[in-house]
Parts: sequence; structure tokens; C-alpha cells
Amino acid sequence: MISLQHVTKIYKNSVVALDDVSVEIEKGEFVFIVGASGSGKSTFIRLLLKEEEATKGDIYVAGKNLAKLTPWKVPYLRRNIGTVFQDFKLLQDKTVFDNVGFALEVIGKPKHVIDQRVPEILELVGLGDKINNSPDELSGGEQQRVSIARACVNRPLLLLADEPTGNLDPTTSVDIMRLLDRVNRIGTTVVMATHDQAIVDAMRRRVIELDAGKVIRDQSRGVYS
Amino acid sequence: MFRRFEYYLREVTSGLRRNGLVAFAAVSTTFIALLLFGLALLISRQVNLMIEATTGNVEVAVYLSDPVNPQTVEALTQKLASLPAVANVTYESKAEACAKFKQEFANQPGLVQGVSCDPKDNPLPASLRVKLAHPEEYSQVAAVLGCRSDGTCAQPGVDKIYDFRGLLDRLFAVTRVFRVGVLLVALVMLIAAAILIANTVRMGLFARRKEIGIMKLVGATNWRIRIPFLIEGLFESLIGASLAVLFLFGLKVAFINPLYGKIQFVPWVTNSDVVAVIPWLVVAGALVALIAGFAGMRRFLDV
Repeated sequence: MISLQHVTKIYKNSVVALDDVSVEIEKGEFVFIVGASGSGKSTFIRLLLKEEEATKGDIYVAGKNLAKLTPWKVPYLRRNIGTVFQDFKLLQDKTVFDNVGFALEVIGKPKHVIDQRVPEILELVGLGDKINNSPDELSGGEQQRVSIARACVNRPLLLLADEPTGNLDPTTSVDIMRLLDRVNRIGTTVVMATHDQAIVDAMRRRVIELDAGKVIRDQSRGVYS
Repeated sequence: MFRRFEYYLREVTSGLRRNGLVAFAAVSTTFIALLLFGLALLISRQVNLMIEATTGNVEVAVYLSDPVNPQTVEALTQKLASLPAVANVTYESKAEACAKFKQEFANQPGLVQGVSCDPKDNPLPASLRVKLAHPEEYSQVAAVLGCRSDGTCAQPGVDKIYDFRGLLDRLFAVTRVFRVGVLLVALVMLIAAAILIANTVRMGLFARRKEIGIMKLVGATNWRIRIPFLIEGLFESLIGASLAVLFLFGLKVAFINPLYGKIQFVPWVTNSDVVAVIPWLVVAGALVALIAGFAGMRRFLDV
């Protein structure tokens, strides 16, 4: 599903974010990327979305070599990737339904598909009764559920989550992790960057630890440190 | 397809509502720019009409001395027509010249009464009307007839040669200055309009940067994101163009219509001339909007 081969990323200000990283992630895996702030977690995620390009090395996502992907094909790559962020990135002037439907509408899905899939996925994330609420009427955990629903509504192969529990209290975080686990169990590969120790230790999944841009640990069924 | 259309329509109208004041500025600047552009086009059309009417497209007149010998006319016509600088030569007899004179000055009876078209004492000369293919090579015509700079000619049968180009040059010079001036102002206004439209586009992009960020993340194509903004700019400039067209018609009805028939033998621009400038205004407006749209979006949509 994901393959990084000797990937180095140096930003324009000559900060080395990733340094000769090689990682293989299989289809259906659930992987934590851990490490202190500035260790390169977010860069890792951004490279997979082709928001940034690797300075050196090759990246394959869903069988595609990202370096050779022309700019106009990037949107089609992203349609196979769901993304979830710490700050939810919801549109406050749209209802929950419209926030999720927006992801289908802007890739040109017909209305009947939207009307069918959006309530379905919102039911799945446990927000079936909040369809017409505005995001600011929801709790943080509920907002993150909306954003997960939006990430999954187009049935992606891969879900990237960058600190999805960063803004949530521990109990809510556990709920969100249960949801991500469910998403993973239906076959979606999940890559989650986090520095939430309790969660990583509780989930016992594969852990890739980054430090100053290098992989210093890659452990299946690992703990935070 | 209809759904996509509905999507774009919704995006455009919400965009226009959002930055109404800047959109208004863009529309009014486009309107003024296109109005001036249209005016410049109509003025040059009017000038061309007047030139055609006054000279009948003849650039050089060769006046023949009395009495006119048909063989001389034939020989001179051939001689002139064979010159590379000459496009065509037509003969205007004394009777025709007289009739034309009476027609042209019909509103000045004193002048007309003093002239008799009777072949015995018709004072108007017969002439060969020469249209030049290359007006700058007028000297060929003068040389072949042995004409001097005062217009008198050595060629037997030729009385005088008159070069209308001097008159045309002066007319052209005046109108050129006028037209260039109006076009320059129109150009400056068009640039101002382009900047304002680019600004509305950029403000729209800025106001919706979060939405655009999400669109990119979920895999919307760049065109899907761009098109509403381009349509918004296009819409603004086309409203400006429509207003300019309406205003041009208004000006024409208010200022040109009262002149119809007032001054004899001067033709005026008609409604169909105004209609003929519409495509130019629309094309100019659309071009400005598209250029401005792309300029406004530059660097904003890099993946």
C-alpha cells in the first residue's frame, strides 16, 4: 500500500525533516508514527498526500510512484486517501450532512449517491441524529467523528490521521480510536501520527518511531517508547 | 451535467454576494472601459463613412480639358490602369459631374442656380477618377502624365490633376489622434478593470481558503476549484459589457439620431454599426476577465 525507499526531505530553509527513511506498510495495516514534535511525523503524512515532494528517494502509494505523478493526477490519488486532522477542518457555515456531502460533491458524485452514502456513514460514526446540526453545536469528539465520516465517505483505501486526538480529552480520544479501529477492520489501511502515549500503548499496533527525521524503531504490536 | 451547472451557479452567486462592493467596482470599471472602447470603434466607423461619402473612395482626380475626345479618354484610361500603383480608373463625364454637383449642393440653391448642366455651357470638367492600390506611389500617376507640383500637366487633353490624398491625410491625422486617445483611455480603463476583477477573484479565494484546502484534500481537481472564480470574473465583465452596449445605443439615439437628414450627404452611423461593435466588446470583456482571473489565481492553487 505504502512504500518509502530511502526518502529524504529537506525544506527550502534547509531543515532536514526526513533523513533516509525506508518503510513498507501493507494493505490493511494500522500503523502509528510516533516521535517528538519536529521529528518528521507531519512531513511523513504530507509526503504521502503529495502536498510535499521528497528531495531524494521514491514513494509509492497505492501502486503509484508519487515523483512521477503529474500534477493533474494528484487529485485522483487523493480520492483514494482519507485525511483527518487535529483541528477537524470542518466548514462552520455548513451542516454536518453538507460537510460530509461536500467531499463527494466536489469530486462530481451525483446527488443520489450523496443522499445515500452520507446518512449511511454518519450513522456508522454514531451521528445519525445530528445530521442537520452545525459543527459548532457539536462537542470536539463529535466534530472529529464528522471529519472521520468525511474522510471515509468516498471509501478510501488509506486513511491518514495527523494527531486526530490532539484536541480531545482522554475518554473522547478512546472513542475516536475505537472508530478508527473499526475503519481499519473493514479493510482500510490506517496511518496515524500521534504523540499520545496512552493510546499507542493501549492499541498495541505497529509503531514506527521517528527522531530528527530518522526511523529509530519499527516494531509490530509496539508501545510508545 | 445539470448538477454541475447548479453547483457552479451557486458558487458564483454566493461569491458575488460575498464581495459585493469590489464586484460593483469591477463591473463599473469594465463598463466604462468597454464604453470607451466601443466609442473609439464607432468614431472610426463614422470617420470612414464620411471619407467614403466625400471622396467616393477616389484618391486622385485627373481633370480633362474641354473639349473631351473619347479616344483620349480611352488612351489615358489604359495608360493609367496599366500602372502598378493604380487599382482602377473610372470616367466621369461632364454631365455626370454636373448632376453630382447639383445633388451634393442641393441645399444651397444659390450655388446650384448659377450652374447649368446644358452641354453648351456646363462649367464642370470631365475627369478620370483614379483609385490607388498603393497610395504612397502617387508619383507614378503624376509622372506618367507629366504633371508638375502645381497640378498642371503636360499630357495633351489633361487639364489638371488633383490629389485627394492631402485632404484624406489631414482627415486621417485628426481622427487618428482622436481615436488613439480614446483607445488609450479605454486601455487604461481595461487594465484597471482587470486589476479589480483579479482582486475580486483573489478576495474570493482568500475568503474561502479553508474550503479550498478541504477541496484539495478530498481530491477536487483544480478546474473544479477554479471554474466558479473564473465564471464570477466573466460574469462581472459581461455585465459591464452589456451596460456599455446599452449606453452606446443610448448615446447614438440621443446624439446621432437628431442629425439624420440635418446635414446633407453626410452619412451617420446606424443601429447596425452599433450592433457590429457588440462582439468586440464582449470578446474584449471576456479576455480581460479570463486574464484577470488567471492572474488572480496564480500561485494560489499550486498542489
